[in-house]
Amino acid sequence: MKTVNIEFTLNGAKTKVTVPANMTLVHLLRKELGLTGTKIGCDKGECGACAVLINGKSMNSCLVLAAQVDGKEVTTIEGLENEGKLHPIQEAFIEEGAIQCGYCTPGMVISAKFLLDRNPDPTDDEIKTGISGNLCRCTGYTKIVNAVRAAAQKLKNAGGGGETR
Amino acid sequence: MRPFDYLRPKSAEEAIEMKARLGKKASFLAGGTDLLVKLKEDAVRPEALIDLSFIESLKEIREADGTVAIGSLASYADIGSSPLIERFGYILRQGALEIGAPQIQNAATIGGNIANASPAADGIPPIYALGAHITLVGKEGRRVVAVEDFFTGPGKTVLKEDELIIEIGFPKMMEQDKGFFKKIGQRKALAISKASVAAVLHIANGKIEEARVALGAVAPTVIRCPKTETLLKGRKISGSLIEEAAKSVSSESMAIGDVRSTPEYRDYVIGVLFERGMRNIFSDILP
Repeated sequence: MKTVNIEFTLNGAKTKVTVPANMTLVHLLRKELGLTGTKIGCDKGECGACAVLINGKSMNSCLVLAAQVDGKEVTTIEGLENEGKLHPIQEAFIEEGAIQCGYCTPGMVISAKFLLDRNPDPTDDEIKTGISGNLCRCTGYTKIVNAVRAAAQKLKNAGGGGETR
Repeated sequence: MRPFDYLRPKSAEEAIEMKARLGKKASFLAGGTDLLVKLKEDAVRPEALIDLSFIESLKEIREADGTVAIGSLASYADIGSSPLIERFGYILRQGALEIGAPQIQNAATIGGNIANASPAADGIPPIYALGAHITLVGKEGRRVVAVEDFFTGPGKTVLKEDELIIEIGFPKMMEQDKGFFKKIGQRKALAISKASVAAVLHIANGKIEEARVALGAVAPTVIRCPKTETLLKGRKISGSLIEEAAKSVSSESMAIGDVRSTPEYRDYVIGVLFERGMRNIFSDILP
């Protein structure tokens, strides 16, 4: 089949679509579903701007076919806020000034979420490894690492960094 | 990407049947981290993709009398976080955590890494050093191939058109065994190896009973170091033995030059990586 019917959970909502077999997830998200928070940088898995969570695991959505998320849970940057309130990781990025041009930010936040879900109290080295698949060409890494550290603290104060959404 | 048919088998048997029917026209899709890049660059043009990512039974990591078996669809994140691998094959864990970045480790599979047969793949030297076997299943049945016999050149393997890599098995590292994986790339993260080395040493009564040393990115395939392994056998660990063995490793390296490095640097640095790895694991007995 050159097209595939898929049903998946997108940011908590059941979503049914028919997609061309050769469409990547990032194109489905941006062009068909209008979720343009997820960015396309290199489009070949080097830069991490397109990172999303699939069943809670961070992946580059430019290297995943839309057909492959059938039956899965996908969380994009748009899915992190809760009733209009930003996620503590997003708040930390703003407060720490960890944003310059902003293009890498959604991917950075997704990688930070994946890290903090598993490791609520990371060392700076673990933070750097956690965001190693995300390139910031403004080279604002110092503030990004600060933001992830601050986010870990916020989540701990809010009662554990676990699987919050 | 050009258009292609998308097929989603529910079992390994169904996947093999599809591949046998379609032959060269079809490609297996595992983690997709290499295949999708090649599709976008138009470097491969399959008419159909057989998506293996829904076959849960191929993702298991299990132990069975003295061995550990890793399903070919296990991701490098699964391998990096597996207690079985940490206990009985930690050098593979060290390799898994050097691959790409978290997003790549979450998607990329060991079977896909092996099928791609890059001489620079960080998952492969550890399985050479562990003495692994690869189980292949095709139309005509099952065969088990020693990892050294599986690769025939860059991107080339003995895999037949209808065969699927099912699992990778290796004898457990025991308590008296020591090993390491070390690599060097252009940067610390997200860099393809210029050179890499993995080793497993069986130690008895303070002497090396058996050694397996494997080098990555310095030959058309990952290679073992027979001369170095013989040199180490039966010897007591000492600083001078490690220096002698490191020189031997450099002499067995057969590096070429490419965009990532020169042959001279690769042949030299692989000995340095070996020496560092050895000094790390024997830091308790070395001065």
